[in-house]
Amino acid sequence: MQLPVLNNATAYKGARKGATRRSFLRKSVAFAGGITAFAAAISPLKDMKNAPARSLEDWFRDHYKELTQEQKDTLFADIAKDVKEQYGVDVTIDQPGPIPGVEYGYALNLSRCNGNRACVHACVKENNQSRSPEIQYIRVVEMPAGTFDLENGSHNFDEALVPKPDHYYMPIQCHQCADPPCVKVCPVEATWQEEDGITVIDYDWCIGCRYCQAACPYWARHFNFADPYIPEEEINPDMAYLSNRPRARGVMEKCHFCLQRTRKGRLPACLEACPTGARKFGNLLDPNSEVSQILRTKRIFVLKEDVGTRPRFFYYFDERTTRNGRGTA
Amino acid sequence: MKQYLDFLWKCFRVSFVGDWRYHLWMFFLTAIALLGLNAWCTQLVNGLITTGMTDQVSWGLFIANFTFLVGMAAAAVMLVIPVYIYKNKELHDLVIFGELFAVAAIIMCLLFVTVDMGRPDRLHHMLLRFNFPMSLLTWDVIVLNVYLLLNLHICGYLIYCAYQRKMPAKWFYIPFVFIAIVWAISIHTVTAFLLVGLGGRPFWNQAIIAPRFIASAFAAGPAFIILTLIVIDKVTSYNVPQKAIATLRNLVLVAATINAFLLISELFTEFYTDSAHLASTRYLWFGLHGHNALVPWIWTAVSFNTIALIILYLPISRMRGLLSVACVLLIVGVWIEKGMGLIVPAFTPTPIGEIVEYFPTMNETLICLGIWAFGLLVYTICVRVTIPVLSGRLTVDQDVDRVRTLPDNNERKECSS
Amino acid sequence: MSVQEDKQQELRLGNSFGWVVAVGFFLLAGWFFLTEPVQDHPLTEPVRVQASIINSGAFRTATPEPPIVVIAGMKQQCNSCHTLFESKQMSPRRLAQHTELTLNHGGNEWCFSCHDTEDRNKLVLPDGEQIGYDRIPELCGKCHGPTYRDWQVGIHGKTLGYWNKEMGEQTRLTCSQCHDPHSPAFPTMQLLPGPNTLRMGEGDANIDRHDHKHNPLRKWQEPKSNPWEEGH
Repeated sequence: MQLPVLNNATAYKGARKGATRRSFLRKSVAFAGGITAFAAAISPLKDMKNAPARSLEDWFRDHYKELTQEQKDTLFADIAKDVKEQYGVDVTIDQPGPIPGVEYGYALNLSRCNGNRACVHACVKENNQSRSPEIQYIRVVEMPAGTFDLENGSHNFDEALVPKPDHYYMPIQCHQCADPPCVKVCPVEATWQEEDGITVIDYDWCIGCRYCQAACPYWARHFNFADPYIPEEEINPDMAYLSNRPRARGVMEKCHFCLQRTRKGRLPACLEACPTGARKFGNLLDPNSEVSQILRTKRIFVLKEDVGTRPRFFYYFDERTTRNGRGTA
Repeated sequence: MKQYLDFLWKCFRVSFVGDWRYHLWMFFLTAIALLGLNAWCTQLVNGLITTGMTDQVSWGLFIANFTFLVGMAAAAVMLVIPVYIYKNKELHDLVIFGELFAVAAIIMCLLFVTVDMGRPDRLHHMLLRFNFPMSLLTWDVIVLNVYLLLNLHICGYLIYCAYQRKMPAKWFYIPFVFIAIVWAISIHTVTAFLLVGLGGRPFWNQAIIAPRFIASAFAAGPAFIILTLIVIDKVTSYNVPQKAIATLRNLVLVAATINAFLLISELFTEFYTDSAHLASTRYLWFGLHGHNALVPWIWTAVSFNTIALIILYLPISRMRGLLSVACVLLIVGVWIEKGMGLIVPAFTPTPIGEIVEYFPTMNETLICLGIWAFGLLVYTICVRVTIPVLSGRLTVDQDVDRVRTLPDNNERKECSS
Repeated sequence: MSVQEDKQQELRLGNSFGWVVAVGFFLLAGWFFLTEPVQDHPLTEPVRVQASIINSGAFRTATPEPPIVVIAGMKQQCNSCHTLFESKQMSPRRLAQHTELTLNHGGNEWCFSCHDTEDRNKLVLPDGEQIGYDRIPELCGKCHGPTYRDWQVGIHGKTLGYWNKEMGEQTRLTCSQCHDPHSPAFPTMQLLPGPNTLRMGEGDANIDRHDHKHNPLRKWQEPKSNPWEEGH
């Protein structure tokens, strides 16, 4: 066994000198081939339209909560400049803070809602949501009377006229839970609950892992799978940092009760667009607010109470059916 | 230090040494990995829209592979426990192949998570704000990286000692081996908890998922190692004792049986109760409202697992050929069961009752294949380097040429670990 | 041929295989450069909804004054005609005038339940008190007590403007700004386009909106048997 091995080694050494040059050439060419193939493989990156970060400074910026007001102001101005560049629209960006002594609540009258989807499209317009791929914060589900199982509902209903007999309609959006699972699971604290109960997302901090989307029991969180597209003429120029400023690809977004409006005292866009007056919004801590009155006097319920999220979005029915003679509940 | 760099340089050179089959295999893996890289670059440019994922099914093939590979990584412990706790002799020399596979598997896991992210450029946000201990994802980041380090340390140290021709100091690796044993269980438990803790997804929100994860991992992991050992035995000079493979076969048999039992328990609870929470399970097994994309997958998985189990129970599976078949069936079966069969149905229907079916796109599939190829590339290199070192052909006083000139010498020194 | 020679042969093969690898890499590089990345982006045409369709105001126009009509170039209110003659028949009947009105108000089938018999520019409460059009909710509330009570505190009806009255003006719409007093049930209405989310098939454009045989991927299929539906 030993001898052939020795022979083998000697033969190898002898052949080695002559082979060195050829071997070197061969290795070099193979190596060059590898490098070329690698370079070719990453070549699609040259088409990267939107730089991942606006700037290096952007990349190194600390978490939003750590920023001073001054830093925030510069940041807002930068974003406004970017929006101007991208969409050619002059916009104002700020970030109104929570109003002390206010906790928002939403109530929706299922006896009134007729499923016309005005809220959905008003929301899209107000909050500069992407039109393609389409992102909508509100999903209206058409439910057959007599069931409460969402799995019986229809999402793409398209009758000529609504309401459809023997159906009721259940719009679902972010429930602004008091115990939000999405906030709990976010690995980088890109989403948090503010003092007025609104759960916000910092689009500049989100890493796009979509764990919150898996955690949300209301399917309220939406992901920018591609660069959002918003027609220039439909940009809502009244923007806030944590709400309706244009988003980038690869981050989450969701309903924030129109905080750019509501924190300035106004009602949310979906509410104002609702032709039936089914939507009610206000301060839960004020006993005379419309929502407080509803919570006190109506039979209310929250969706999926069993998952323990304690939503601030309440559904209620009127005591009787609507006057078109068709039961809504 | 210089000596260590020298060691790394030698390892690097050795990884290019081999016959044409070795080079073909490595070229094949590199090419697939580059295809994957190319696909990932396309995804980076266009966004995750290049995948089949949607707002409805927001996790797909990437996370499916991730959960599966976490299990494979954890399964290395199934070699470690018999060796270090029960002092099993046959597996003693082979345990390092399991640990090396754990390293490769964890690298694949981390890559799968990275390609799944919408904004991988913001990975550093994890360092600035880390939602620990609330977010299970942060737990996963910690346990996976620590497990990677533990295994790198154990393997690296043992190999380096063999390279230096000295006995490894027990205190410098035995404690880590025991930590790694516990840690292996933890990586898989944490990954299961990541899914189990979500109240909005009844399909995941059940305690049996974590034990099932571990059982299926401990079936598929050692099955993969059996395959590796059979290949090593066949194409290298390294002799794998038949007894070692028999021990592993028994491990796989027990784990696969437990896995089947847990699956039956789960299915009974779900279908006998027949509650509203059944929708996802029904979608997976029988389809829902005419949507049945996953039905062929899960039945394939079940039949593969069953056939594998039957083969393993028969004495005939002592034949390596048949054993390999059983192992392949088991790995594929568990991959489907834990990947497509566990991740996707939880999203179908959505929490508000919408059904959107998920189909992986070409681009997405290429990325997955690329990562697998890269992982196998890493593993092959590790094994390629380890074998000559452990058999004493690549040591501190010997040049790489010795490996080259004695490619298939059967001389073998006892590994000193 | 001995095993060793065989191995050596293979080793040489392994060496020259480097060229194969090099060629392979260059082919791969060429392939990357020459092929377009797979375009599998299911982007659909954005759904355009005109801003005017979304009415962020009152559902109907209603004035706090009796409606004004222009007849012969002159602005007329109810009394312009009704003071000229007396309406004698004080019981439900088929109207000769106002034929555009359909009275579909449940049990309330008589004009003078709400309109005053003397002064047609006024409405009347059940106790006979004449009231102006600005007090419509009070009138409706005489029958619709619970709804009126709800409306008073803001539970029923639509509120516009500011939820916080300290920060801006709040408008509470009155009954007739949403309900037609003669046919108060809320009418059925057209709906806006449904979701068009990713990978749910083609957009709405190609689909006959009233044909329920949609792309199976896109549409949820209604449960086959719904006891409530079959009853009808």
